[in-house]
Amino acid sequence: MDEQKIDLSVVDPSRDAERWETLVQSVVSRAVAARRRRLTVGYQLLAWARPALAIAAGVALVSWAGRLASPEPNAPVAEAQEDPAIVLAGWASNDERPPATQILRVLGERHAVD
Amino acid sequence: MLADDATAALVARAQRGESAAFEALVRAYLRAAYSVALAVVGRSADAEDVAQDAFLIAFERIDSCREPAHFAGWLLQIVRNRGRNWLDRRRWRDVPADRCVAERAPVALSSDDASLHDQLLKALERLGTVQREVVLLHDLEGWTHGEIAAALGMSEVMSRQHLFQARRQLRAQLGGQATGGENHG
Repeated sequence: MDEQKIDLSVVDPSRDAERWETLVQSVVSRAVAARRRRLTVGYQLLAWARPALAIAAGVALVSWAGRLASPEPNAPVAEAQEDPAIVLAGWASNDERPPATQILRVLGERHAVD
Repeated sequence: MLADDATAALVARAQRGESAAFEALVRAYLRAAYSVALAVVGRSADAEDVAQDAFLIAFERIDSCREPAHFAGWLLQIVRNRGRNWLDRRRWRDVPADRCVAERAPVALSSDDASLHDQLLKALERLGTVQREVVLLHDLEGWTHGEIAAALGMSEVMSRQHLFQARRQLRAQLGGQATGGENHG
Protein backbone atom coordinates (compact mmCIF):
# COMPACT_ATOMS: atom_id res chain seq x y z
CA MET A 1 0.00 0.00 0.00
CA ASP A 2 1.05 3.60 -0.69
CA GLU A 3 1.20 4.84 2.87
CA GLN A 4 2.91 8.17 2.57
CA LYS A 5 0.66 11.17 2.92
CA ILE A 6 0.34 13.65 0.04
CA ASP A 7 1.25 17.20 1.02
CA LEU A 8 -1.91 19.16 0.31
CA SER A 9 -1.05 22.13 2.49
CA VAL A 10 -0.98 24.57 -0.46
CA VAL A 11 -4.74 24.15 -0.85
CA ASP A 12 -5.37 24.35 2.90
CA PRO A 13 -7.46 27.47 3.50
CA SER A 14 -6.62 27.51 7.19
CA ARG A 15 -2.89 28.03 6.64
CA ASP A 16 -3.63 31.74 6.86
CA ALA A 17 -5.03 31.57 10.39
CA GLU A 18 -6.30 35.13 10.52
CA ARG A 19 -8.17 34.85 7.25
CA TRP A 20 -9.61 31.49 8.28
CA GLU A 21 -10.85 32.93 11.56
CA THR A 22 -12.62 35.70 9.64
CA LEU A 23 -14.24 33.07 7.44
CA VAL A 24 -15.45 31.06 10.46
CA GLN A 25 -16.87 34.16 12.13
CA SER A 26 -18.57 35.19 8.91
CA VAL A 27 -20.37 31.84 8.57
CA VAL A 28 -21.42 31.87 12.24
CA SER A 29 -22.71 35.45 12.20
CA ARG A 30 -24.63 34.89 8.94
CA ALA A 31 -26.15 31.67 10.29
CA VAL A 32 -27.20 33.27 13.58
CA ALA A 33 -28.63 36.32 11.77
CA ALA A 34 -30.60 34.08 9.40
CA ARG A 35 -31.97 32.09 12.36
CA ARG A 36 -33.10 35.29 14.13
CA ARG A 37 -34.73 36.51 10.92
CA ARG A 38 -36.64 33.23 10.61
CA LEU A 39 -38.04 33.70 14.11
CA THR A 40 -39.67 37.05 13.28
CA VAL A 41 -43.45 37.20 12.80
CA GLY A 42 -43.17 38.59 9.27
CA TYR A 43 -40.92 35.76 8.15
CA GLN A 44 -43.20 33.15 9.71
CA LEU A 45 -46.20 34.65 7.92
CA LEU A 46 -44.29 34.68 4.66
CA ALA A 47 -43.21 31.08 5.21
CA TRP A 48 -46.86 30.06 5.77
CA ALA A 49 -48.21 32.20 2.95
CA ARG A 50 -46.39 30.31 0.22
CA PRO A 51 -47.63 26.78 1.01
CA ALA A 52 -51.12 28.13 1.81
CA LEU A 53 -51.23 29.80 -1.58
CA ALA A 54 -49.97 26.63 -3.27
CA ILE A 55 -52.63 24.50 -1.53
CA ALA A 56 -55.38 26.97 -2.49
CA ALA A 57 -54.22 26.89 -6.10
CA GLY A 58 -54.15 23.07 -6.03
CA VAL A 59 -57.70 22.87 -4.63
CA ALA A 60 -58.94 25.31 -7.27
CA LEU A 61 -57.26 23.29 -10.01
CA VAL A 62 -58.74 19.99 -8.80
CA SER A 63 -62.18 21.57 -8.51
CA TRP A 64 -61.94 23.02 -12.01
CA ALA A 65 -60.66 19.74 -13.48
CA GLY A 66 -63.43 17.81 -11.72
CA ARG A 67 -66.04 20.11 -13.20
CA LEU A 68 -64.55 19.63 -16.67
CA ALA A 69 -64.47 15.85 -16.33
CA SER A 70 -68.02 15.40 -14.97
CA PRO A 71 -70.75 14.87 -17.64
CA GLU A 72 -73.49 17.40 -18.30
CA PRO A 73 -76.62 16.60 -16.29
CA ASN A 74 -78.85 14.63 -18.67
CA ALA A 75 -82.58 14.10 -18.73
CA PRO A 76 -82.84 10.68 -17.03
CA VAL A 77 -80.79 11.88 -14.06
CA ALA A 78 -82.89 15.01 -13.78
CA GLU A 79 -86.01 12.93 -13.96
CA ALA A 80 -84.78 10.53 -11.35
CA GLN A 81 -84.43 13.46 -8.97
CA GLU A 82 -88.11 14.32 -9.44
CA ASP A 83 -91.15 12.62 -7.92
CA PRO A 84 -91.55 9.20 -9.63
CA ALA A 85 -95.32 9.70 -9.88
CA ILE A 86 -94.81 12.88 -11.90
CA VAL A 87 -92.21 11.20 -14.09
CA LEU A 88 -94.48 8.20 -14.76
CA ALA A 89 -97.42 10.50 -15.51
CA GLY A 90 -95.25 12.44 -17.93
CA TRP A 91 -94.24 9.27 -19.73
CA ALA A 92 -97.86 8.12 -19.93
CA SER A 93 -99.21 11.45 -21.24
CA ASN A 94 -96.46 11.70 -23.85
CA ASP A 95 -96.85 8.05 -24.80
CA GLU A 96 -93.17 7.49 -24.12
CA ARG A 97 -91.60 4.06 -23.73
CA PRO A 98 -88.51 4.56 -21.60
CA PRO A 99 -86.04 1.69 -21.33
CA ALA A 100 -86.39 -0.73 -18.44
CA THR A 101 -83.22 0.55 -16.74
CA GLN A 102 -84.64 4.06 -16.61
CA ILE A 103 -87.93 2.85 -15.13
CA LEU A 104 -86.06 0.85 -12.53
CA ARG A 105 -83.90 3.84 -11.68
CA VAL A 106 -86.92 6.12 -11.18
CA LEU A 107 -88.79 3.55 -9.10
CA GLY A 108 -85.64 2.70 -7.20
CA GLU A 109 -85.24 6.33 -6.20
CA ARG A 110 -88.73 6.32 -4.85
CA HIS A 111 -88.16 3.04 -3.02
CA ALA A 112 -84.98 4.36 -1.47
CA VAL A 113 -86.84 7.45 -0.22
CA ASP A 114 -89.53 5.29 1.36
CA MET B 1 -13.34 15.23 13.74
CA LEU B 2 -15.60 15.33 16.79
CA ALA B 3 -16.95 12.14 18.37
CA ASP B 4 -20.50 11.24 17.35
CA ASP B 5 -22.01 11.96 20.76
CA ALA B 6 -20.26 15.34 20.99
CA THR B 7 -21.54 16.21 17.52
CA ALA B 8 -25.06 15.09 18.44
CA ALA B 9 -25.00 17.29 21.54
CA LEU B 10 -23.85 20.29 19.49
CA VAL B 11 -26.54 19.70 16.88
CA ALA B 12 -29.19 19.50 19.60
CA ARG B 13 -27.97 22.82 21.02
CA ALA B 14 -27.88 24.35 17.53
CA GLN B 15 -31.48 23.20 17.02
CA ARG B 16 -32.35 25.21 20.13
CA GLY B 17 -30.67 28.21 18.51
CA GLU B 18 -27.49 28.44 20.60
CA SER B 19 -24.97 30.43 18.61
CA ALA B 20 -22.02 28.89 20.50
CA ALA B 21 -23.08 25.50 19.13
CA PHE B 22 -23.20 26.91 15.59
CA GLU B 23 -19.67 28.17 16.04
CA ALA B 24 -18.39 24.86 17.42
CA LEU B 25 -19.91 22.99 14.47
CA VAL B 26 -18.37 25.43 11.99
CA ARG B 27 -14.96 25.06 13.63
CA ALA B 28 -15.26 21.28 13.61
CA TYR B 29 -16.55 20.77 10.07
CA LEU B 30 -15.83 23.80 7.86
CA ARG B 31 -12.51 22.36 6.65
CA ALA B 32 -14.17 19.04 5.83
CA ALA B 33 -16.91 20.92 3.98
CA TYR B 34 -14.22 22.82 2.10
CA SER B 35 -12.41 19.56 1.23
CA VAL B 36 -15.52 18.01 -0.29
CA ALA B 37 -16.42 21.27 -2.03
CA LEU B 38 -12.93 21.43 -3.53
CA ALA B 39 -13.31 17.82 -4.69
CA VAL B 40 -16.50 18.79 -6.53
CA VAL B 41 -15.78 22.28 -7.90
CA GLY B 42 -11.99 22.07 -8.28
CA ARG B 43 -11.12 25.66 -7.39
CA SER B 44 -10.10 26.82 -3.93
CA ALA B 45 -11.97 30.13 -3.94
CA ASP B 46 -15.16 28.52 -5.26
CA ALA B 47 -14.80 25.72 -2.71
CA GLU B 48 -14.74 28.24 0.12
CA ASP B 49 -17.92 29.87 -1.15
CA VAL B 50 -19.64 26.51 -1.60
CA ALA B 51 -18.62 25.37 1.89
CA GLN B 52 -19.97 28.58 3.42
CA ASP B 53 -23.24 28.38 1.49
CA ALA B 54 -23.66 24.73 2.42
CA PHE B 55 -23.18 25.54 6.09
CA LEU B 56 -25.79 28.28 5.92
CA ILE B 57 -28.24 25.88 4.26
CA ALA B 58 -27.43 23.21 6.86
CA PHE B 59 -28.14 25.62 9.72
CA GLU B 60 -31.34 26.77 8.04
CA ARG B 61 -32.46 23.13 7.91
CA ILE B 62 -30.86 22.05 11.17
CA ASP B 63 -34.27 21.03 12.59
CA SER B 64 -34.57 18.41 9.83
CA CYS B 65 -31.28 16.72 10.75
CA ARG B 66 -32.83 13.50 12.02
CA GLU B 67 -29.60 11.80 13.02
CA PRO B 68 -27.54 14.44 14.82
CA ALA B 69 -24.69 11.97 15.41
CA HIS B 70 -24.34 11.71 11.63
CA PHE B 71 -24.30 15.45 11.08
CA ALA B 72 -21.06 15.19 9.09
CA GLY B 73 -22.54 12.90 6.45
CA TRP B 74 -25.68 15.03 6.26
CA LEU B 75 -23.65 18.23 5.90
CA LEU B 76 -21.31 16.77 3.28
CA GLN B 77 -24.27 15.69 1.18
CA ILE B 78 -25.50 19.28 1.22
CA VAL B 79 -21.97 20.37 0.22
CA ARG B 80 -21.95 17.92 -2.69
CA ASN B 81 -25.34 19.08 -3.95
CA ARG B 82 -24.42 22.71 -3.56
CA GLY B 83 -21.12 22.06 -5.34
CA ARG B 84 -22.85 20.37 -8.28
CA ASN B 85 -25.29 23.29 -8.62
CA TRP B 86 -22.35 25.67 -8.50
CA LEU B 87 -20.58 23.68 -11.17
CA ASP B 88 -23.65 23.74 -13.42
CA ARG B 89 -23.93 27.49 -13.12
CA ARG B 90 -20.20 27.90 -13.72
CA ARG B 91 -20.39 25.87 -16.94
CA TRP B 92 -22.93 28.36 -18.24
CA ARG B 93 -21.01 31.49 -17.45
CA ASP B 94 -17.35 30.43 -17.73
CA VAL B 95 -14.92 29.91 -20.58
CA PRO B 96 -13.92 26.26 -21.10
CA ALA B 97 -11.54 24.92 -18.46
CA ASP B 98 -8.65 24.38 -20.89
CA ARG B 99 -8.72 28.05 -21.90
CA CYS B 100 -9.23 29.27 -18.38
CA VAL B 101 -6.44 31.25 -16.74
CA ALA B 102 -4.92 29.65 -13.65
CA GLU B 103 -7.02 30.14 -10.56
CA ARG B 104 -5.78 32.68 -8.07
CA ALA B 105 -5.34 30.99 -4.71
CA PRO B 106 -7.49 32.60 -2.00
CA VAL B 107 -4.57 32.49 0.42
CA ALA B 108 -1.51 34.59 -0.43
CA LEU B 109 1.20 32.19 -1.64
CA SER B 110 4.84 32.52 -2.63
CA SER B 111 5.54 32.02 -6.33
CA ASP B 112 6.76 28.44 -5.70
CA ASP B 113 3.69 27.61 -3.67
CA ALA B 114 1.42 29.28 -6.21
CA SER B 115 2.94 27.08 -8.91
CA LEU B 116 2.53 23.97 -6.74
CA HIS B 117 -1.04 25.04 -5.94
CA ASP B 118 -1.89 25.14 -9.65
CA GLN B 119 -0.14 21.85 -10.36
CA LEU B 120 -1.92 20.18 -7.47
CA LEU B 121 -5.33 21.38 -8.60
CA LYS B 122 -4.64 20.13 -12.12
CA ALA B 123 -3.50 16.77 -10.76
CA LEU B 124 -6.58 16.53 -8.53
CA GLU B 125 -8.75 17.31 -11.54
CA ARG B 126 -7.60 14.07 -13.17
CA LEU B 127 -8.91 11.96 -10.29
CA GLY B 128 -12.49 10.84 -9.86
CA THR B 129 -14.66 12.95 -7.55
CA VAL B 130 -14.81 10.27 -4.84
CA GLN B 131 -11.03 9.80 -4.98
CA ARG B 132 -10.61 13.53 -4.56
CA GLU B 133 -13.01 13.56 -1.63
CA VAL B 134 -11.20 10.71 0.09
CA VAL B 135 -7.67 12.02 -0.41
CA LEU B 136 -8.63 15.54 0.68
CA LEU B 137 -10.52 14.36 3.75
CA HIS B 138 -7.71 11.99 4.71
CA ASP B 139 -4.52 13.86 3.82
CA LEU B 140 -5.72 17.43 4.25
CA GLU B 141 -8.37 17.17 6.94
CA GLY B 142 -6.86 14.18 8.74
CA TRP B 143 -9.97 12.04 8.97
CA THR B 144 -9.64 8.28 9.50
CA HIS B 145 -11.00 5.76 7.01
CA GLY B 146 -13.79 4.96 9.49
CA GLU B 147 -14.84 8.59 9.61
CA ILE B 148 -14.62 8.98 5.83
CA ALA B 149 -16.57 5.77 5.26
CA ALA B 150 -19.36 6.88 7.63
CA ALA B 151 -19.58 10.38 6.18
CA LEU B 152 -19.41 9.43 2.50
CA GLY B 153 -21.50 6.25 2.75
CA MET B 154 -18.92 3.68 1.71
CA SER B 155 -16.97 0.85 3.33
CA GLU B 156 -13.60 1.41 4.96
CA VAL B 157 -12.06 -0.95 2.40
CA MET B 158 -13.34 1.23 -0.43
CA SER B 159 -12.04 4.32 1.31
CA ARG B 160 -8.57 2.72 1.54
CA GLN B 161 -8.70 1.73 -2.13
CA HIS B 162 -9.70 5.21 -3.24
CA LEU B 163 -6.91 6.73 -1.15
CA PHE B 164 -4.35 4.30 -2.54
CA GLN B 165 -5.30 5.03 -6.14
CA ALA B 166 -5.53 8.78 -5.57
CA ARG B 167 -2.10 8.95 -3.93
CA ARG B 168 -0.51 6.84 -6.63
CA GLN B 169 -1.89 9.06 -9.40
CA LEU B 170 -1.03 12.30 -7.62
CA ARG B 171 2.51 11.10 -6.94
CA ALA B 172 2.93 10.11 -10.58
CA GLN B 173 1.88 13.58 -11.69
CA LEU B 174 3.56 15.67 -9.04
CA GLY B 175 6.72 13.66 -8.37
CA GLY B 176 8.69 14.56 -5.25
CA GLN B 177 6.69 17.74 -4.60
CA ALA B 178 3.71 15.71 -3.44
CA THR B 179 5.31 13.88 -0.56
CA GLY B 180 4.31 14.87 2.94
CA GLY B 181 6.18 14.14 6.12
CA GLU B 182 3.87 11.76 7.96
CA ASN B 183 3.02 8.18 7.26
CA HIS B 184 -0.65 7.29 7.23
CA GLY B 185 -2.59 4.46 5.74
